[in-house]
Amino acid sequence: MTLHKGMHIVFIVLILIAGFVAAEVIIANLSLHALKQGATPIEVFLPKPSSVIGAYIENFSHLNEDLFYTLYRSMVGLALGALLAISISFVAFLSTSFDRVATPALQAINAFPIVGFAPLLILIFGQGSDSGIIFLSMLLSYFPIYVSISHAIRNTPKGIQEIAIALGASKYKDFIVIRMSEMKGALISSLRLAFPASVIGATVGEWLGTGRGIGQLVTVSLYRFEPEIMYAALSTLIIVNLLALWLIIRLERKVAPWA
Amino acid sequence: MNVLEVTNVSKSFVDNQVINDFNLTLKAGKSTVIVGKSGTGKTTLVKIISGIIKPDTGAVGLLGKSINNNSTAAGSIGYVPQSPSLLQSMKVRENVLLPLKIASKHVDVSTVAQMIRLLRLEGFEGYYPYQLSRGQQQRVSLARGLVLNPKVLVLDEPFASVDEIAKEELNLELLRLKATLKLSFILVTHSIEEAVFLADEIIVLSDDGSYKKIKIDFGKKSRTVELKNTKKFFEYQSMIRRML
Repeated sequence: MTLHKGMHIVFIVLILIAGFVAAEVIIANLSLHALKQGATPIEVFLPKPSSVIGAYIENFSHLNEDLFYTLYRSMVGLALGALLAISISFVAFLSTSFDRVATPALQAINAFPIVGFAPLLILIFGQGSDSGIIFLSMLLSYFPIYVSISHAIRNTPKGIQEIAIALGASKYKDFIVIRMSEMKGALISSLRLAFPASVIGATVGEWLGTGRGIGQLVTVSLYRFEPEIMYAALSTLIIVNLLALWLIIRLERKVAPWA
Repeated sequence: MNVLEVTNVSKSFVDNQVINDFNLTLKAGKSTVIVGKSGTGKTTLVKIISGIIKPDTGAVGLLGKSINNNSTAAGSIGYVPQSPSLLQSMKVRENVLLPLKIASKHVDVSTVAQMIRLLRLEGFEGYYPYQLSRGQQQRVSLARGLVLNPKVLVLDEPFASVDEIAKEELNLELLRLKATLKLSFILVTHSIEEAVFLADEIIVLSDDGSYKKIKIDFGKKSRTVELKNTKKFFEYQSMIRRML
């Protein structure tokens, strides 16, 4: 069965409303049942969607300010991650020896539970400093970009590589004229993975105490026993990630339709 | 006038002698087609001529000058690889002018436009390769091979992956370019029919590294599709088939 484009939106909205109502009813009933049994009501750790929306409206400006901090840190981390990935790919392309050492080393570093090292990074860069959070965000976002662009660089058609050799092109020229162009699509596609990774990096860094940011808000709301604020904060991040994904796909279609 | 001279070229990979003391002379405006079974060194030979790989011994000369290790000769021999090998991230026009950028030569807009017109790609300049048919992609590859205005065009099985009708059109296109641009070309193919249709001279490579040359002459008959139904065309085909 195929649906008209406008019908898709109506269909999604109906599903959301149905989910909202179902969640309201189920959570309220389970909480009531738990109270009757003398147990902890589920609403304590799983608030009703209406409570989450209420908390969002009540803390709208506060949440937006925190979101700004998180997005600022993740964007800077992402930009640095992209720069790092492009730089490593460039040097690895120019120097086979560097490539032989760097590629396995980077894969090994990526196998580390980087998030687990977050407290250490915050300690090194200083609590309350943006640098540690940005560094964590960069560490989490560079790898998907690196994998994607280095694949594009290495998989340039053999025929065009032969033409470059026949024309006596240097490796530098080859990279700038041929490989950089092929890298463009891969770079944009990699943002689908790298953007959420950079947001995770920033949020985890903020958990450890920075004063502001969605991560910090989640931690504080947890200590204050305000689950509806925590859910409002996390929902905001989910919406931002979905919005970013939509924008990246649009950008990909516009700038790199072949990718 | 000799445009290209290949003198005593040999090449081996590990213990396998692929090319053994090969000689070739190509005159201006003429075509040489190389045929042979798989593994007889056809691709190796055209890569040596194009400057992609170096021979163990021997030399390749262009207009009387050796072009081995001579970077100034870059672009004097155009190369059209087996598959179109177009950059997916570039539009047709950018793919055509790519050799100019690689060779750091001035981008002459009129040359690029002329190549696009000659290869009947007008209207497709702003298309990406994925929006083109295989035959059109091969036309772009041909235009790219010609954009530096080379003295010789080297084509390595360029039409192997296109359908029969597109192949026939591209063969006629190549002959038209030969006549219009006074183009000299060397082409590698598996197809005996294609070889006879396109060549002024055919070189048949054997498994043992030896080779034979056959002059193809249809007199005053023009190279049209009808030529393929003539007795002489069949005789040439049979002769080459026996040599393989």
